Amino acid sequence: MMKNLIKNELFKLSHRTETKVLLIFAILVTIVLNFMNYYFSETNENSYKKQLKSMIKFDEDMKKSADNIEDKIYYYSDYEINQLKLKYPLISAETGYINQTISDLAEEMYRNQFTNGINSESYLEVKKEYEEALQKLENYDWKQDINEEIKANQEVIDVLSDTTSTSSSTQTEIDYYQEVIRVLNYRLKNNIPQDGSNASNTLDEYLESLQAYKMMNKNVVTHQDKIALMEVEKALNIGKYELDHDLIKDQGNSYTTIAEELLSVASGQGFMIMFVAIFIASMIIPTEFEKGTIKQLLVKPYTRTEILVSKIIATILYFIGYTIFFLVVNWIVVGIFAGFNTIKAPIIVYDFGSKTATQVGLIPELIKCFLLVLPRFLLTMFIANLFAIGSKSTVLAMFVGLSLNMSDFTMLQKPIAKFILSNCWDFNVFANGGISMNEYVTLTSSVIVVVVTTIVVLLLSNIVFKRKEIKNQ
Amino acid sequence: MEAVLELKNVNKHFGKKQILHDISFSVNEGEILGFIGPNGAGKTTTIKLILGLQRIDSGEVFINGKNIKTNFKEAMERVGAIVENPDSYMYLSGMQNLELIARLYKNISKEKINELVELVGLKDRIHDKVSKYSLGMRQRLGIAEALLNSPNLLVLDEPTNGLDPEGITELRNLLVKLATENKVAILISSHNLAELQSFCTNICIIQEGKIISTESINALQHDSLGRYIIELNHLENIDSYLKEEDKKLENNMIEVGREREEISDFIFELLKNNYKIYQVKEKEKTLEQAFLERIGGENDEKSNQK
Ligand SMILES: Nc1ncnc2c1ncn2[C@@H]1O[C@H](COP(=O)(O)OP(=O)(O)O)[C@@H](O)[C@H]1O
Ligand SMILES: [Mg+2]
Repeated sequence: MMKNLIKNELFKLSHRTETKVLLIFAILVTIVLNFMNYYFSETNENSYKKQLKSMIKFDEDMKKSADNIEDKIYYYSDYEINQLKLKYPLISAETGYINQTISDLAEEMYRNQFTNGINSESYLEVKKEYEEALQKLENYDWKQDINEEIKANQEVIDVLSDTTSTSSSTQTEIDYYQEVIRVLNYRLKNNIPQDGSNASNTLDEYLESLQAYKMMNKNVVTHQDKIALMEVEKALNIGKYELDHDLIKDQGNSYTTIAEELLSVASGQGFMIMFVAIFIASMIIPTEFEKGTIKQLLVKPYTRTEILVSKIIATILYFIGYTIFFLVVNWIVVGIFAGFNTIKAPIIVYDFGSKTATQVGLIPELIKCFLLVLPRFLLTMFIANLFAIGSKSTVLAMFVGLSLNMSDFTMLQKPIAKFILSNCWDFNVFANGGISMNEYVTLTSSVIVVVVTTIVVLLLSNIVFKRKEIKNQ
Repeated sequence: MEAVLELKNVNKHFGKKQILHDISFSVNEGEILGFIGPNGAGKTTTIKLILGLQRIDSGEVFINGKNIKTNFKEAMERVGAIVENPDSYMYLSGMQNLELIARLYKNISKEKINELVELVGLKDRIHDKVSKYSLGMRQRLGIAEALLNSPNLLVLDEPTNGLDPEGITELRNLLVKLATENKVAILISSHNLAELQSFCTNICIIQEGKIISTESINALQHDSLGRYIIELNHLENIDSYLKEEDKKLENNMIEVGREREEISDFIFELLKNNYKIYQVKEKEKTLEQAFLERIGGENDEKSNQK
């Protein structure tokens, strides 16, 4: 018979104007956010060209009005570079070459012009270099550059190998340069110039993490150092895994992928799902009090505990349903803006314990992320619900729920931090051997705090609800 | 016969104020108990205690022999109720409201729902949202809702609010039918005795949280009989013929309380003593007056005590 109570609660919820509005809102918000991300993304050709043009106009004005040397240097070179960029697509080897080499030369040239004069030797020297670079750009052969780079790196390795003392630190250096060469070869083989494409960026980030790791002190002392090291190791191992398994070249150039967005929703990032959880939990009881319909419910042959439990279960079910709905909306909307094939983007999970990366399927990972963040949602809903019962005010309950979720005490490095709910209720932090940013918050302490709080909040809700008197109007 | 509803020495306070004092009464099957009292007397509070909507300080409430404190679910199985206002979900249709409630009881058929919709005359509008209903329509929907589980105890708190005279008549006929044909026990509250007197079998009067009297409507009606007004040619020495509660009125009239058998002796005695009698009429006293006198009496007692 409890089943029917729950059915009724779900029926009432789904027929309320507020919940209908929330459904429409979910669609609108997703469309607007994705449109913005798509339009202003770093890989959008249209908006890039528009931006360039407006920057050129701005530079032109500033060139005239600039009254100190630094400004002059900046706007003169920027003007020139932007006009140059206008000739090439955003994602192209040429644009990459302009960004990496020519823009520095331009700045150098104008610095010499404005400080040493147009006839100075230094100016003429840089100018020549600059013009050569422009020449090179016309028929830019990026593979040649990469080959030269490989040669240079190989030379470094040769020098390092020659030294008789092959200490472990030299070996690390050699390993590093070999990895750099591997990346460069990957570029050649798969046609990935340094063009600002997602694949190229991934390769660059991998090399950055390699370098960061090389420089890092491995004997960590503080908690923050430990986290930083773990993060670099993670980036490095994931990059290595992607390279090993040839997952980089097919990344495409969308601003995001369906897989990424769905995972972000399922792991409780973003506001919408949280808002709905808090809203439903905050209103499901006060609305019955406001309209007096609670009386009609309480005189039925059910105990108050049964009625409360049915409402809580309905809240949870509605929330899960809404999350699924929101995932579907995201799937469709992101699919439209970023392409439906982005759902196939590989999902790589890193295990901090064994320091290994593995590729996993989307659906299992979605479920895992959702289950790990579920304690946070449940507890938020239970607490909001408790305040809603106590105060009969949806607004107050929502305020409590939202405050709990907006507050951030991660950086409170004191033992008390482990008792702060928001520090421990999202178990995605601990997934795959991860640790909290806060050194006092451990998996064990979090489990205890969350379980105890949940029990206390539910018991309190039951007591308060059972004792609630329905006042005369 | 076991009472369908029984209250035993029920007390209730809010803060420091005692709202109900030792309330006891019972309703048997087929009885319609009119629960009468002025606004603020404690009618709604009593009804809420019966339905478990507020906590009882002391005393007990039994419904169909089940104590609501220890056996709430069983006690409520055959109760239908409207408290204060009919509380339907405004954003649902009348039919959706009925279906929600039907789902909370065992075996309520679609036919039963339709039958009740027909009974309360909402057939044409049952699929409209309740927010579009008039107060009277909401009352009628409330009644259909209260009857869904075929209750043997019906508790109605001022159900005539918002009903037009025609609606009141319909409700009255319906309640009488339920009581006589289905043996339903009905507790119906009102601050207006006149509305209830024509169809209640019993009247329970509550004032300032105390039950002043509980009796059958016949007894109360009996109480209003036996007063006569007599017009004489003069009132000299009349005092010697009058009893304590008899009164002298204007225009040589007197008001006397006599049993039916006594009145002819009384008239004969007046005639014997050379009074002329121009008219004798029975004083019509409504239930309302009897009721007011009760309340008045209670108040007098109180002021005497002070
Ligand atoms: N929550 C409350 N707190 C204090 N007094 C209350 C409360 N509810 C009702 N009362 C008082 O209880 C008395 C009985 O009220 P009620 O049962 O609504 O009367 P009725 O229904 O007969 O008009 C009134 O004097 C009212 O002021
Ligand atoms: Mg009342």
